Amino acid sequence: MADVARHPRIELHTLATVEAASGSVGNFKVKIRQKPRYVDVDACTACGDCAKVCPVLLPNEFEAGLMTKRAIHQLFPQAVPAAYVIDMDHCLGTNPIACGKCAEACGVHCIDYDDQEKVFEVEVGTIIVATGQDVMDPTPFEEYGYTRYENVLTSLEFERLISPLGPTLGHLIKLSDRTLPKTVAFIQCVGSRCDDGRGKPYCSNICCMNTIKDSLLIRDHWPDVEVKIFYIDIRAFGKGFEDMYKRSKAAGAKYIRGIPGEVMEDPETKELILHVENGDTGRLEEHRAEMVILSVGMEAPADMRKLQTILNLQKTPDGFYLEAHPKLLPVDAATKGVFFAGTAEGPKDVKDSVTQASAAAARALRLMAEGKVHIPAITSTIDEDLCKFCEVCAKACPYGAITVDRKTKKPAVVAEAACAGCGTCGAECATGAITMKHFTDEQIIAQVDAMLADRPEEKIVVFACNWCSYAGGDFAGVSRLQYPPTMRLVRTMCSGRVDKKFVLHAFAKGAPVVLVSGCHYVDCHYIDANRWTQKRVERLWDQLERKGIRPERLQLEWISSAEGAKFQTVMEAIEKIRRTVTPEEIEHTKKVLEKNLLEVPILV
Amino acid sequence: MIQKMGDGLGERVGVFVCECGMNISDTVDVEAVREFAETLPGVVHASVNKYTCSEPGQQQIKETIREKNLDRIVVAACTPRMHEPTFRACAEEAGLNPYLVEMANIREHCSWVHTKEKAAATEKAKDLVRMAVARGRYLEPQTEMESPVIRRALVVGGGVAGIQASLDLADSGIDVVLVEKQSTLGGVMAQLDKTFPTMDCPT
Amino acid sequence: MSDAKTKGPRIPCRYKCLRCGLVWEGSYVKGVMEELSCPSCASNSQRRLKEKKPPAEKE
Repeated sequence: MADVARHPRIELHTLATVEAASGSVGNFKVKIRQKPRYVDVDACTACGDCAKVCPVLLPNEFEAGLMTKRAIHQLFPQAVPAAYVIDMDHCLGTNPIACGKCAEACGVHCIDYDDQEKVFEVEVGTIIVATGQDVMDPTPFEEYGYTRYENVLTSLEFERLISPLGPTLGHLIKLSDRTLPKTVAFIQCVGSRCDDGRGKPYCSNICCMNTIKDSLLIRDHWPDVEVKIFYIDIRAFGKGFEDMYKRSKAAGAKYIRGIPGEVMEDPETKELILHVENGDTGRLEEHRAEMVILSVGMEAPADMRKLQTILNLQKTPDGFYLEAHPKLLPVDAATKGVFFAGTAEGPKDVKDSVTQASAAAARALRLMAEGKVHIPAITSTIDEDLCKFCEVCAKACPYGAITVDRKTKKPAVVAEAACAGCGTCGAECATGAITMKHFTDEQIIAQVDAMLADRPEEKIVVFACNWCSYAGGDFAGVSRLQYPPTMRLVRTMCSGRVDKKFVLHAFAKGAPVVLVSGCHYVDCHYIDANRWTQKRVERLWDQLERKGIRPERLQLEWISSAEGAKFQTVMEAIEKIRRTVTPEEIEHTKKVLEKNLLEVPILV
Repeated sequence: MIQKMGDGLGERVGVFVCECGMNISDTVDVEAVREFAETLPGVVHASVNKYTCSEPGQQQIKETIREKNLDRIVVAACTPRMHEPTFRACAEEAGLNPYLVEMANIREHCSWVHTKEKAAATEKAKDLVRMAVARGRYLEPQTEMESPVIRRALVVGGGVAGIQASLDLADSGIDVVLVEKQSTLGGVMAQLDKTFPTMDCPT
Repeated sequence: MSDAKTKGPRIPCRYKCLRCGLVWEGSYVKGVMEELSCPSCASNSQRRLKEKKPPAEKE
């Protein structure tokens, strides 16, 4: 931490949050709002004379409320920057009867009650989001008595309690009578793996190991204190974790499979009574402990939504930020130039947070070292004369790269640096105002025409996205998986590019079957562009049915790049459908869809 | 309604059919594919190569582009996900815009998956080449936009991850703006006493 | 994926697989897109059958 403060290249702003951002990769303009500190960071020597005279006492949140702080305070001795700060909500300050004691006591005159909030802008090339997590609140779990019993603590409170710098200088005590507890019980998965709505459905990743660590600390320092751990199962999956679990058991910690249904307190002795069904014996047991630790998990911070909106980020249903690709781009955000580090992306321990932070730094560095980004020339371009300001393209763009205004009749404009080239806007535009560079309508239709020039009834037209389905076909090839030789692939960057006119044109040209194929929902390389594919195909099914064409002849499949076998299965199944399509049916379709034939100079 | 593009249709297309050792030629009759390619409109050159991606293979493409003044090239070989960058670079060296290269995937999507149906595989390879030539003729030269990247990073959050990322970047010579909501760095990490599995102090 | 809504009343409906023709009872959440696969052939090509209202009986 101190390294950050003294690093000449790091400009540190505490009490600051991101307020707004504009621009795109390489050149973001970010507005930052910094709350007043009321203490001059550079002048303050952190001597503490001010806090000694401050009359206002408050709970110290860093010590999980187990200690107090003054209105002017430093949360903990090693705080960075090493300067005090005034909590102005509680400072008597310059109220009608001014206090002003701290300013009097300060030898270097660094306290300024009139300090003001600052808003400033920084220009940066990349952004790393390391906004962390919140610790879960155990109060909804009333059965554990966290709000009723003094000796029921959360794992974070316990962490401060046994810290040598904490409220007791590292002495393990019961809060009720300040004596050493004879038995400490841990209850695992409080708030994690919980499906009843009071907690979160996911596993928080760190709580098992944290409890194992605590059990070892207790058994090492206070060998007479008994440790009981109530758990669903122990997840000790990391390097050195299983070894530590074994050491904890060898050190005498007792592991009991089962989560207590209730914690009750003996009002006389303050002893806690836990009822649990032991999963190993199947018996209902009663355990007694003098202290109960609730092993609480991690959750996404409540204020994440603001940054999500500012930077156009995505979240998974668990509330944490979503990476651009779970395996290939695990620290990239879908917004180019933005990266994730630490628990902002999901619960993880210190080691994984540090690893991911270094990965994010390397990914960001990759752009900044080069000093420039090449934008592949596959972006969308707009013919202003054809634009009817309908705003569909702006809605379809997963990146918010298109601006258009229906009210003022301002034609669409594409921010090229933000455009990823998926082509969804091009497929949705009904007026033909959008051209996708390198994947133009003409180029794609020419491919379809070439494919269907001879014996179209024997061909299956497949539109496959570059990242998943086309790659799935490649994987089938690498694995030598055999399938019927009737299919022909047309590659687009995303299935979102597959315009309905391409499909209708293929049918009008005599194609028996058309397949549209893209990435699985959550894998879409263009955030959620494939949802537009699905909506479009669903509309096409209705349209075909109305025209008396079997909707079965248009197939939709999600095939990932690893699913070579699925690619094979799909091709085999579709070939079966092709065999059911009669020449009369094809003739009928050609006639019905005659109007949908597109005119591209025949080149074949 | 389809968008019409410029009038620069490819009129001098070169087709390079790859045997890929025997990976393609074992199943696909590459000579038949080459002959077929010669008959396609706009095609002025078609040849077969043992390994098109090899140095001699690329050399041949470059020479042919210059000699026959090719305005588009089609490489019928493996997946574009593998060697499109190779052939784009090759074209660029011969003075052809890299976006005027098209590939026909006659290996992953043809010879490897229809090994027992040689005649059908050859027909399919012809179709794939025909499709690539048709699309290829419509390709237009493109210039990749270059956008400068400011050598300064913003790190939002000063917990262990934010600290690590800031230090890594700053030590690499990048200026870092680190923004923390609280009055001090550290986040949750600073509150921890010891950390698993090595039981060391986190700060 | 943009903050997908996963909660909300599930409306019962029937799906038809466009690959194998299987019709099965399922449900959907209004306004929410879901990736489904056919219980028989695992295909994604399926459509929600629109229930035709029975003609009102005349008295």
